[in-house]
Amino acid sequence: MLQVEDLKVNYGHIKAVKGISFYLKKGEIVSILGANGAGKTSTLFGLGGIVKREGSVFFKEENIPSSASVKSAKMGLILCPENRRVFPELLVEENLRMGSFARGEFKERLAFVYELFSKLKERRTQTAGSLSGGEQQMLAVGRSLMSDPELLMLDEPSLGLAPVIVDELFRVLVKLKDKMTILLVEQNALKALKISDRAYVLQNGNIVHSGTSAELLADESVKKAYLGM
Amino acid sequence: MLVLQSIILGIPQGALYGLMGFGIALIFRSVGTMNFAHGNAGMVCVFVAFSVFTATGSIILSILCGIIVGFLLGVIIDKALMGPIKHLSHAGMLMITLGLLMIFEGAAQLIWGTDYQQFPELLRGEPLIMRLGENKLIMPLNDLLITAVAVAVSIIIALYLKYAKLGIATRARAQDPIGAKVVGIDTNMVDSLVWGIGISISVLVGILIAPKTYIHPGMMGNMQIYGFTAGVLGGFESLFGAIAGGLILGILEKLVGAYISPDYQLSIVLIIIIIMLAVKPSGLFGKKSSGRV
Amino acid sequence: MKKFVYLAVIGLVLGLLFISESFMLMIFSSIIIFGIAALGLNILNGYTGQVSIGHGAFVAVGAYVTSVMSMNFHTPFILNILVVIVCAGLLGFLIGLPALRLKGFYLAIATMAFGVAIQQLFAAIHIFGGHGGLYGIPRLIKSEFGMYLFNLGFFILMYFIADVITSSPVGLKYRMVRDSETASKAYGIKLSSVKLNAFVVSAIYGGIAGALYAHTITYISPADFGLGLSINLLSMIIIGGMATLEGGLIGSVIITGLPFLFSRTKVPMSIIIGALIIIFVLFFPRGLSYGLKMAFLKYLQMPLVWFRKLRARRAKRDGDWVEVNGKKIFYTSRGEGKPIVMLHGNLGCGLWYSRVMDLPGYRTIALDMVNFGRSDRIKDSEMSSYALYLRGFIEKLGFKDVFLVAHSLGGAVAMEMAFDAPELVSRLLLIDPCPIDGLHTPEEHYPFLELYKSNPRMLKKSLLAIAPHIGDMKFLNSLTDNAYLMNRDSFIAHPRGLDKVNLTERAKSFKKPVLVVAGAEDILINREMAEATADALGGSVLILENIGHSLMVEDPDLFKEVLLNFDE
Ligand SMILES: Nc1ncnc2c1ncn2[C@@H]1O[C@H](COP(=O)(O)OP(=O)(O)OP(=O)(O)O)[C@@H](O)[C@H]1O
Ligand SMILES: [Mg+2]
Repeated sequence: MLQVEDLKVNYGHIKAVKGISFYLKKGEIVSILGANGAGKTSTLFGLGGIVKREGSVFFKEENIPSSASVKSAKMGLILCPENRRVFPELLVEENLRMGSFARGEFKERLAFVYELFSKLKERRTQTAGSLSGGEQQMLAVGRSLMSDPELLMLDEPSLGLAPVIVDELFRVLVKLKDKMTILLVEQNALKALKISDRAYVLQNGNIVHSGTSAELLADESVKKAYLGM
Repeated sequence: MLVLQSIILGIPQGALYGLMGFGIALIFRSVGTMNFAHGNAGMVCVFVAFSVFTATGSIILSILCGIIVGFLLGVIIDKALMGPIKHLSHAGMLMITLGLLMIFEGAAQLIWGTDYQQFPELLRGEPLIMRLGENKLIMPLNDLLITAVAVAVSIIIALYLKYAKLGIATRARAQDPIGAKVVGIDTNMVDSLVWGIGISISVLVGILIAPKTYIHPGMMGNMQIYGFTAGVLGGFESLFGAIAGGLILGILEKLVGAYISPDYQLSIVLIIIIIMLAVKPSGLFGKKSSGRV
Repeated sequence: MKKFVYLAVIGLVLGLLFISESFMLMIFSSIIIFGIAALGLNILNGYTGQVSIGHGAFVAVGAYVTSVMSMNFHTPFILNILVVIVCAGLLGFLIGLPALRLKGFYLAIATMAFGVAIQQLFAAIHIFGGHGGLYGIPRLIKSEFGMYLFNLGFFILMYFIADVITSSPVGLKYRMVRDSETASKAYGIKLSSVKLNAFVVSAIYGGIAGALYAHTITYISPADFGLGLSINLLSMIIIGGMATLEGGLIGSVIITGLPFLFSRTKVPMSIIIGALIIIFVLFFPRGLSYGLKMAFLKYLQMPLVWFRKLRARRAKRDGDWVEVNGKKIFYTSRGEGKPIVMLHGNLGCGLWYSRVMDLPGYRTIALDMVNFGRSDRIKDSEMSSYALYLRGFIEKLGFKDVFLVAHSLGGAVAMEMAFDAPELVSRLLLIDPCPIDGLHTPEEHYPFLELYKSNPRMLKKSLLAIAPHIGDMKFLNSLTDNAYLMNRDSFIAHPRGLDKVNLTERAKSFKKPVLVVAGAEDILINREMAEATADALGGSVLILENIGHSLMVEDPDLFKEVLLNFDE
């Protein structure tokens, strides 16, 4: 589904991602773990065309050039960015409508999202800025689901959410699994590993560990550094 | 009665100021550039409309041409100049649009000269005469048309921004560029579109005032200042603040003219603006009153 | 002080050259007058970072106040100028107040509105002559030349004051406010008072320029002081150079002088000014002043470089050549006995050892490494390549067990070679060598290194800095001459190469005796660096007081003593 070779992301002199390669198979949930500043967000930004990158990215056997955010969105490679990034002065429903800007049948997807997050339906004529943090996160996830993603990249969806809500969010992700492939970036490594098939561990812009979730859960050094065990 | 008269006379003028401010605010809010070349970009295109008019004699065709050229000019400004320099500081962008202002003025002088050219009124005929007590108020038809056009254009753009997919996308891009990118909005395209629409509005304003001011390279100078002022009054934060600000400004100006002296109109209005900026930079309708960047 | 003398002399000479052409003198006066206004704007905009596109207003105030006073009340100029200063300063204070809360675009709108408002007020008030303006303003001095000198005097005075202000603590505060408001707050700077100060000062400059303008041109109208003037003033400092004293004048020469140059063509000035603004903001944000300074440093001394090269080639140096890998290497040899090979540093040549070649019982050999002095050039400037040629050189001369002495960059070459072929080396004396893990040159120094290529004065100064106790200036001169024989690309490539040096690992297997000597006054290699290098090599360190980076040229006798002691 996704094949990444030698991905590099630079911000001027700062090398955030230093040439990583990884892949995702259809229907998998794969996690990218790593400490703050490891380059996780930069990786997803590079894949989503938000920042310039080097290296080759093949999505559904098609080459995705750098900075091609429109193309990747149209093909169903959808990023749900860190910090929500909803449109604060747009209504909830307008936000969702923007979610289906590049692809996705608006009415049909809207019903799907409202079913998944009934809270959003209640709030649909409110501006996104007036939602609570958790609701905004739901809106962000909902907005990316509007475009009927084939591969959904989620950047720290649990950021700032209460533990109960996080559990609920992860349940939703598992539900989504048979409909789409998921690339998940998480601080909450243990929870992420529990629902994912495989994972990569990033450190200073390089992949330092990779394997199935079970392998990583068993790996002593990973446990110590990232799982706090 | 002088008050009522000033208000009625101020509305058509104010509608134009509002429209001008609206165009400036649209670009500023969406793209983040305060366009100091707004008036002169419009002026150049009014000259184009004038040339088309002299060549064909068709007023409709000339207006259409002017507005289309205005749209293209906006797109070109974005693609060739402003787009690639989005990283520049505000001061840098400011200077660049000031440079554009000068270039447009010089270009108009070079191509069309500095003479005043006449452009026909869009509507001629018996002016509307209103009776206010013992006073008679004469409202030329063209002024009525100006008001109608300004209101209509504002409403059309308002509807577009509220309901059209690209319109919502324009607002979305202004609020969160990264959010806009991840949903697949082509932000570069939206920027160009905004510049195009913004400059077209300036052209429209220019064509509407042309019968009164005549067409010449300096015709939009004061108009642009009024446009900024309208934006400041209403607050650049909301697009319709600019329209409301323009109307208030038009009426205020007539009131100053009626009660103090027309000579002081511009100065007093401008001083009000400075005070306004200092006291409440977010405008009459703005929420926050913190210092603006 | 030199600056002001130059300014006065140049101004005077120009004035005298055109003494009979009053039109030219009038242009010069205008340039100077707007130069004053631009200088003031630069204090506000360039130094303090507060945009103003309403500066024409202050010029207007100065012009109108002095005109009305002298025309209606026949007051002396000295009184007028005082009133102008007070009025302009007050007005600057007034617009400064609301401006305190505004930044960027909003400040620009406010100042623009202010400029137009003042212009309109003058147009509306009867005693200021309305839109028509005022005619027949009395001249202070009848002759155009006298008027020009008067303006010139004022300019120099204002320039001097600006120099004093900007280099005073107040000037420092201006810049701090410009660079970061938050940081300056943290330093306890009161933003509002600094900004108001800048507004008032720059307004006074504008007012004075206006007063001079009125008495020079003798006719003023509101149209002279509109948005057009404000943008022109801004363009002067953009083109001339933000936050420089001379920028305003340079810009004024272009912006005020250009119209006369183009007066025959049909191209309107505004196109040219507009284009210049955009070009400068995008491509030359530092303005002409910086460009001119760089051009002066870069190109004006080029002939001197050629002269020095020629002199270096012509100078007599006894020596021989050997060929290594097809490249000829020049060396000087003295005496008979145990061989000592001496390696110079960056910008050096064998000459650096010329004062220490006489060592009884030794055969001393000082070579010019490839890319240096009289030896051939090679394509790259890598330490490893130099080491290869050095090895070839030693083998060609048939030495085993040489005593290697190396200075600075030569130290990196010597280590590299010694680790490659330890059997060729018996002991290593390193004089302020490149540290074992490389010498970092900050990126912002590279433009200066670039300048050394074409500016012998700067190069000589920098050589003096690394050999502070050299004493003999003739010797320094000839070292400078010879530095220009170095491959031009190496000026930049050497520091880059030294940055990459990392021999810590390879040093571990090197077992020969090593002594690292460093001058206590060395500005490149400090004590820690010398110690780290010696540590990695398992050698000892000697720090010498009153010595800079270059022992062998600074104190030849001490060098010999150190060398002989080490060899015992
Ligand atoms: N816009 C930027 N400009 C400069 N450096 C940046 C920028 N964005 C990120 N970086 C740097 O790139 C590195 C990687 O950042 P990135 O945001 O990808 O980390 P992350 O793994 O997502 O961290 P976190 O867990 O904190 O979100 C960091 O060192 C960061 O400082
Ligand atoms: Mg992140």
